[in-house]
Amino acid sequence: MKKISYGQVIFLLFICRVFRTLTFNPFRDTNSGVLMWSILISTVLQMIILLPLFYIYNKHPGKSVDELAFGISKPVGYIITAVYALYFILLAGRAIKYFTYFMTDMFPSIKNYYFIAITIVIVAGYGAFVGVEALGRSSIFISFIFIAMIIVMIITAQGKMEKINLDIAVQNPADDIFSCVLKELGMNSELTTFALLLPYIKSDIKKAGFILLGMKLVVLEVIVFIYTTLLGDYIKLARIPLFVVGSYSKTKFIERFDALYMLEWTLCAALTVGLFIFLASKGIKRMIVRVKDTYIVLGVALVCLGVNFLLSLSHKPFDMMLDKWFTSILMIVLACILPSLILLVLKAMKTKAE
Amino acid sequence: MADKINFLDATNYSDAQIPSDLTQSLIDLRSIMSNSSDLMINTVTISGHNSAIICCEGMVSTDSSTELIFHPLMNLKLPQYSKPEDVFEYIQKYGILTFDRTTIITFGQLIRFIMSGFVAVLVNGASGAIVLGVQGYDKRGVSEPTTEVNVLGAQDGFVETVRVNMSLIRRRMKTPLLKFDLFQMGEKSKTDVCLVYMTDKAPKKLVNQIKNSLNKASLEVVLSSGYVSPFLEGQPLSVFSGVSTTQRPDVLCAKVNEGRVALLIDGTPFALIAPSLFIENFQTVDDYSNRPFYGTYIRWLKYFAFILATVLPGFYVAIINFHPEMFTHTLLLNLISSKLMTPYSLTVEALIITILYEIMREAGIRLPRVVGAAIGIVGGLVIGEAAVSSGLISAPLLIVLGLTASSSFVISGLNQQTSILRIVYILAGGLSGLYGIAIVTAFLIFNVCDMETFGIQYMAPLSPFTPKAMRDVFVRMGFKKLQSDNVKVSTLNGVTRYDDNTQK
Repeated sequence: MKKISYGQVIFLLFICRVFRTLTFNPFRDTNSGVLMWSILISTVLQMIILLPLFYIYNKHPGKSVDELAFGISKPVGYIITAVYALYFILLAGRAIKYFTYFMTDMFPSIKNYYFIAITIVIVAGYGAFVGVEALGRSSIFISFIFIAMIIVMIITAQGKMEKINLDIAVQNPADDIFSCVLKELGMNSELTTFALLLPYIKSDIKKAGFILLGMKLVVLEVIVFIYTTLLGDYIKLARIPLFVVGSYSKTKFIERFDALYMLEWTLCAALTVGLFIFLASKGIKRMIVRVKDTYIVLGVALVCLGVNFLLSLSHKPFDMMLDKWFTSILMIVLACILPSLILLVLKAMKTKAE
Repeated sequence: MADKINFLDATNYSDAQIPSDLTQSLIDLRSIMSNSSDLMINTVTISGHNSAIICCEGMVSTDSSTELIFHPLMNLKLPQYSKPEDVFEYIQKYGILTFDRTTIITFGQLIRFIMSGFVAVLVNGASGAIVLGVQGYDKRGVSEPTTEVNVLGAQDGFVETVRVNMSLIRRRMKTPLLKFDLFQMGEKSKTDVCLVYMTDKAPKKLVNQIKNSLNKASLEVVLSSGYVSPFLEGQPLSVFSGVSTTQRPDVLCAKVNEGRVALLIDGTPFALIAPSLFIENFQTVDDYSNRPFYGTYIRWLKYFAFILATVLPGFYVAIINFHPEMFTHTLLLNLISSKLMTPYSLTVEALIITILYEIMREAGIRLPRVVGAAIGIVGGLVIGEAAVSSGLISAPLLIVLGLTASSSFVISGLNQQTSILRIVYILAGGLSGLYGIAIVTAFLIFNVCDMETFGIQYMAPLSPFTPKAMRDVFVRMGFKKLQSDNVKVSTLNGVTRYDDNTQK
C-alpha cells in the first residue's frame, strides 16, 4: 500500500482547512476578536478530538476506522464504511459548491457555473485516481504557493495595517463565543479524514496531528489579523475577506493581483475535492470489491458533481449544511465519538472472549 | 544408419552445434546466411589440416588479420601426426596475438561474433570454432557532444561503439567498484548493451529491477535508446520521463556515482540513465565548474526559463482575453491597439505563431547543413518582418514568442514537454483565462507527483523532501560541501523500497 509521510499529511490537511477560509466566511456577523479567540479554543478542542484516532493508529496499525468496524461484525462494518463514504461525498459536493460560487461571484467573465463545476471535478477525479501519494506530494507544492501568495499579499497590499482597524473590528457586535467555537469546529471537517487516512500514514501520526493544529492556528490567526488590520470595518461587507485583501494588491507593473491569486484558489480546490473523492472511493471499494478502482473513482466523482448540482437547486439543504450545529456535531461524531465507540465495543468483545 | 539431415536456416540456427566436418559446417553457414554477399569464407590449409577462415566483409581490419592471423597460421608447422585440436590449442595458447579470443560451439555464437567484427577459424575434424577479435569497421571518432554543449567541461562525447564508450567511462572512474554488465538485446539485431553501475552505490534491488525490465523487453531490433527507454520508464501516461539520456561521459560518471544505473547501447551515442529526477533537467556540467554564486544564479535562471518556455504564451493569451485589468493603463492601451490591427483572435494568433515556430525549429534540425543559413533568413523574414508588417500577427505576441523560444533553448532536455505544454496552455488560457491555466497546472502537478521510476519518486528531493539535497537544488553549494556527503539515490527521503544493500 502506498503511504505518505507525516509532513505530507500535514500539508494535505492544511490545504483542506485553508480552502474553507478561501471560499467561505461564516463569520460575517461576528467580530475579529471573538473570531481569534474561537480559533484558539477550537484548536485545543481539536487536540482532544484527535486522541482516539492516535490511539487507533498505535494499537491497530494499518487499519482505518471503517476497517476496524468490520472487527465488530460485517453489517456494522458496511454501515460505518457507508457513513464515512457518504460524508466525504457530501464534503466534496459542498467544496465544489463553495468553489463554483466563489468563481462565478468573483470572476463572472470566466465561463459559467456548470463549466467550472465539471472541470474542477475532472481534475479532482484525476487526483483521486493517481492516489494519496501523489496528492500528498502535490500538497507540498500547493502549500508553498499558498504561503508565497500570503507574503505577496502583505508586501503588495495598498492599504496600511492599522491598529485602529483592529480596535474597531473587535468592538463590533458578535455572536457569543460558544457559537463561534462551534462554527470554527465545523470548519475543520478535514480532521475526519484522519479516520480513513490512518493506514496511509507512514509514521508519527501524533507529530502530524499536533504540527497540523499548530500550523493551522498560526496561519489562521495571522490571516484574521491581516485582513482585520487592513480592512477594518469593511470585513462585515466582504464575502471572502482574504480575497478582498488580495484585490488590494498592486505594483507598478501589475495593476490587480486577484486573477493570479485565483490560481492558488483553484489548486486548493482541486486538491481538497480530490482528497475527499479518494477517501469516499476507498470506502466504496471496500463494499464493492469486484469493481475496478478507476470506475469507482469515476462513479464517486459523478455523484459528487450531482450532489453539488442538487445543492444549487435549493438553498435549504445548503443552509442546513452551513448550520454550526450540523457541521460541528457531524465532525465531532465522525472524528471522535464513532472511533471511540468502535474501540470500546472491540475492547468489550475482546474482554468477553477472554 | 544415415545421419539425419537437419536443414539449418535463419530461424533455427541459434543452438545448432558446429559440426566437425568442415564441408558440412560451411554448407550450413551459407544456408543460414542465405548466401549473403558480405560473408567471406577463405578455405586454407593450416599445418596440413583443411581449415576455413571466416569473417564479414568490411568488419575486420585487413592489416591486423593479415599480421595476427593469416601470417602465423600459414607459417604454422605442427608435427606430422598432429590432430585438428592441436591447431586450436596453438591458436589459444601460442602465437596468435589478439586479446579477444574465445572458443565457441554453436552457430548462434558464430554468427554473432563474425557480425561483431571477429574472425572465425574452423578446422576440419574439430567441432566448434575459435573467434579472434580483429575489428576494423569504420567508426566515428570521439568528438564534442552535439547536444549538452558546455563551456568549461570536457569536450568528448560518446560514440556509436559501445566498447569505445566503455573506455571513456573507465578512464574517468579507475576503480574496481565500477562494473560493466554486457549483454545482448533484440532478437534480430543482437545489439550489444552494457549496464554501468557502481557496486558500492547502486542498490542491488534497483540493478535487478532494471535487468528484469530489460529481459522482459521483447524487441526485434534495438537501433537507438528510444527503443529501450519505454521498458525502463513504466508510466506511459506521464508527461515527463523518469529515464534521461546523456552524450557525456562525465555526466554519466557523476550520475553513476550517485547510485544510478546507466545503459550504453551499441549503435547510438546516447546513454540512458535511470532513475532520473525532474530537478536534474536543470543541472549541467558548467554549473559545477563555475563559482557557487554564479552557479546558483544560473540555476534559478533555468527555473525561470522553464516557466517562461511553458506558460508565458498561455498567460499572455489568458490575461489579454480575460483579465486585462491586471495590466497598467499604458501597457494595456499599447497591447489593445496592437491586437486591434490583427484579423484573428489572440488564441488563434498564438497557436499559428507557435506552430510556425515549431515548424521552423524542426526544419532547422532536419535540413542539410549547406542550406542551414536559409532557415534563419526565412524564419526571420517570414515570421519577424512580413507577418507583423502585413498585420497577420501582432508585435507583442512576437516578443512573447521570442522570449519563449529563447527560454526553451536554455533547458533543451525538456524540449518535448515544453513544446506540447505550451500549446495546451495556450488553448486553456484562450478558453477560460487563468482558471484554465490553473486547471492544467493542477493536472500537471498531480501527474508529475505520481511519477516513480523503479521506486524513486520523480519529484524528489522536493517532494518527498530531502533537506541535504537542497544544497544542489535551491543553491549550488561549493564542492567541499557537496562532496562531503554525497546524496545517493538510496538516501532520497521517502525511498523505502531499497534497503541500502548495495552490491557488496
